[in-house]
Amino acid sequence: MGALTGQTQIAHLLRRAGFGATPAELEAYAQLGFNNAVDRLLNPDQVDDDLDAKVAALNLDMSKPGVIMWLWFYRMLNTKRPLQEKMALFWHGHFATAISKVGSAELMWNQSQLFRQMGLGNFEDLVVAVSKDPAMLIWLDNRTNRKQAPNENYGRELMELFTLGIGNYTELDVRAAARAFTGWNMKVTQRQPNGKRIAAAEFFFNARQHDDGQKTFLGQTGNWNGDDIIRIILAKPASAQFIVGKMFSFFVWDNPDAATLQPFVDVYTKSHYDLRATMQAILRSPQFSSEQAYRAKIKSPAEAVVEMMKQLGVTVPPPRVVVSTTLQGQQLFNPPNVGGWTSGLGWISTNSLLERYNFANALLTGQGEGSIAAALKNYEAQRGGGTTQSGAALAAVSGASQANGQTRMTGRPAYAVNPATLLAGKDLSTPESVVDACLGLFLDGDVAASIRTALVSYLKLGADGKPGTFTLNDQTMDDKVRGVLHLTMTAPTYQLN
Amino acid sequence: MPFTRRDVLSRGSLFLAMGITAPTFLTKTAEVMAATNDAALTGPNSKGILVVVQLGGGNDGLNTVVPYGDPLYYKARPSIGVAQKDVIHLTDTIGLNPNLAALKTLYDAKQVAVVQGVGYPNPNRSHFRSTDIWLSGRPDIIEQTGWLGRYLDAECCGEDKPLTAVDSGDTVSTIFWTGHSIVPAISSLTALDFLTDQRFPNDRNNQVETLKLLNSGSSGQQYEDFVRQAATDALTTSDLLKSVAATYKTTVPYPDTAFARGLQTIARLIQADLGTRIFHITLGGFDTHAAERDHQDPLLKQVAEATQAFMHDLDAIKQAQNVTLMTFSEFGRRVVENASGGTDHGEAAPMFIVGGAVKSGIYGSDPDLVNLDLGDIKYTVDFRQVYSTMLQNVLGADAQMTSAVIGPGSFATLPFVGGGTEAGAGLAGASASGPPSQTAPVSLPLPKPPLASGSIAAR
Repeated sequence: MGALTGQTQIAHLLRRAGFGATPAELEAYAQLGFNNAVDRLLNPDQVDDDLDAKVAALNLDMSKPGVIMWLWFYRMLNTKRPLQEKMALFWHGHFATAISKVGSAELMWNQSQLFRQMGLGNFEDLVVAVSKDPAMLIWLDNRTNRKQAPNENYGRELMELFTLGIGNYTELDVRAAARAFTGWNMKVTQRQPNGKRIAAAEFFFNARQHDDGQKTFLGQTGNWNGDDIIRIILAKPASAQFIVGKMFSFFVWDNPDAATLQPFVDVYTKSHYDLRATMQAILRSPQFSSEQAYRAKIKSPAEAVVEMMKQLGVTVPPPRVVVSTTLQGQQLFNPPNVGGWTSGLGWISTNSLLERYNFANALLTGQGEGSIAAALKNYEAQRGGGTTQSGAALAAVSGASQANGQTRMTGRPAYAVNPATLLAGKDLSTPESVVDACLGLFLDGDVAASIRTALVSYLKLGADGKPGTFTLNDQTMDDKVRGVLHLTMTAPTYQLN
Repeated sequence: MPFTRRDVLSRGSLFLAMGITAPTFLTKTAEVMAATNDAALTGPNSKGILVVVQLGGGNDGLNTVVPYGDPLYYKARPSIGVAQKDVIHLTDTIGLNPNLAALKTLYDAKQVAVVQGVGYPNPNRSHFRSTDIWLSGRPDIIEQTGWLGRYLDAECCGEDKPLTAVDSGDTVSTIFWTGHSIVPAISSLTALDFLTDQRFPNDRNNQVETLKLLNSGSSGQQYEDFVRQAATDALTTSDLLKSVAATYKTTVPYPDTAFARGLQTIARLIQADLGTRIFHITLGGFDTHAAERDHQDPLLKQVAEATQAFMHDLDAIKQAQNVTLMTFSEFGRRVVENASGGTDHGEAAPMFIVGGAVKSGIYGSDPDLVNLDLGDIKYTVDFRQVYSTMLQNVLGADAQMTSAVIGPGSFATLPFVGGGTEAGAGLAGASASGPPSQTAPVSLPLPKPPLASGSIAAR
């Protein structure tokens, strides 16, 4: 396989290990060189970042679902530790937990913090921590898993989806695991002012509810507790295959075969489940930087919208971004079920593509569905409610972005992109060079000639739909060049990561 | 101006193909369709329409069709059992959860059949594996394609009668997946349009044409070509829906739920008579590990009331005879309740078949709560018999095509809808009036060998 080099390799790295790059970030990482860039990404704690302080200054109401959803986009867009946020998104999709049942934005945010802090650490520690996480305890019903009548939900999904994969355990193992996790409960430490929703909680082991009898699990018998179940599972070669397979699929290419995975499985196993070591092996591998891996994945909605915003110089996401990715099939903090969101070609449907293009248009023109309230009303009318909490939440968020000097999404808010600013300093002397400058903002590597030709032709099409000539001036910068920027983001290549 | 089928056919866009499709296939279909005599596709000789309603999460069959006459039911479910006095009696042993009252009115109008004890050999209690089994139609192997996708594939190639399918919602179910045909996801008739800068309306068409150009052709890269095709179809679907929305209306009120609106969208598309033969829609939330009554009861109500409105709408547009709706879930649930007021994953469960051509009644045996499989109800009807019935008696497939779609094994049709065939033997429906008869289970094909061990890639 051919190897990626130079800026193309860096852009590829930043798309996979992060959410794309601004031109300045691309330049900065290119200066580091690939290996140093990988090191920097793998060691987020060693990178200075004032993001937490900026977030604190926004003074957000973290009890609102729409707010935490928006906040995560803000973090993805502005973080100097992209792999930390990307691992958090990966683990969120993996340990898929949904606010629609958990019912507490604070608990969901805490779970995401767990993924930020432990996402590149030891996988066994991570699984134990997740098993004790209050959001997870609510989500998979383990807080009601009691000795008298065990609830199998957590035991089953832990093995099937989180650590081992189907076919590697029996129904009797599920029942044994359920018994071992009895008593893994939580204490609510704080409720919302109205007394109902949970604002804070912590793990609590209820010995009275715990079944401490002998259990036979995956062929081993003992008085197993939840920690033992996790230890026994992770020691199975099938578990290593499973988890490393998921990581490789997410970061390199879909459906790797066992032979491809073996060296990474070896690193994972020999390092006793060290995720940083495993990610380093993956990112530094010839497979990662190969032609085969380049543009080999479909961008998830979150990746698509954040990269758009980075490349367009947007620094505060419009609140509509939450509704947009939801319409594209990815509502953060609210996957449709414990299997997580879809992946690969599942992201692409007639609906989701149109929404992707429309979000690009909204960023460029500042036009949307009027206010956030109207956008949500539209969405809810199509889907029958369920997001009314987020209505007020997003209004609150737009208030937050108002505090940052940005207005709500009516007419032409402050973040509507100015093409002249974006293209400042570029060669704009001919229609071809204008198109090249626009393409250069979004696409690295070789761009198909057909794309360039189609965009140059578009530049020359007049209002009557007939081909004419293109002259760059204030008017055409505003309408036609803006149109090229929009259309570039509808190119098929742009939907690929 | 009304948007007629001939208009659509002449555009060649009706069979909306998406995915890893070879472009030649699409063109061929368009040519074939353009040559079709569309008079044969509507009217009394037309084949029926199938609506598949997927209840996601594992709907608890025992609290849906309640064996109120069996004391073991109440012994197993002291807190979540449906009280005898609340059950809507269908026979003197089984009845409906009271939240299905709207469904009972359809049953009384002879538009509902209940098929009990549906499942498959070597049941799997994983949501994802069991769902894949139902959607692929293959309990015996790992099969990527969907059973309805295989039917679409078999029906259209070389045939002179086109057909097509729609998924009502945001995403397309793998029930339709094949290497060749795609199906659009339609979430509403006023769904998305391709938006451009409102200040320059004269430039919009230029952008639309450029978008088509950018996404035309083929790069040879699988994912990229899929995106190209989906983009092209997105524009076509968008145009199509605008026409349908403008022209076709209803006076029948629907409940204010997303699921009901989804069925309404389906009714509009049926009314528009674009030749759509198969629809799919999902309602989730049935994974009731805890507080089951709080979650399942309202969902059953939603299903019943939406289905009732849908049937009334079909009556109003005179399509009720042509449409058959079926509900299914990936499994039923554990007989004994757990300590969280819920139930764990189970096995066999009932299906509802609804429509004007249905032969109303109860099919299959009441649940046997004595002889369980690890605490779960054993199946007595293989779902492939239900599929076989739908393929032949609703969609009009012949026995050979049915066999090709369903796979190896003998799965005789059941007589609950349309022209009955043989081997409904032992599964005759009870008539709605008169005393019900306890029927014997249908004779089953030989059990298949267990699934080969080895990891199955999780989603």
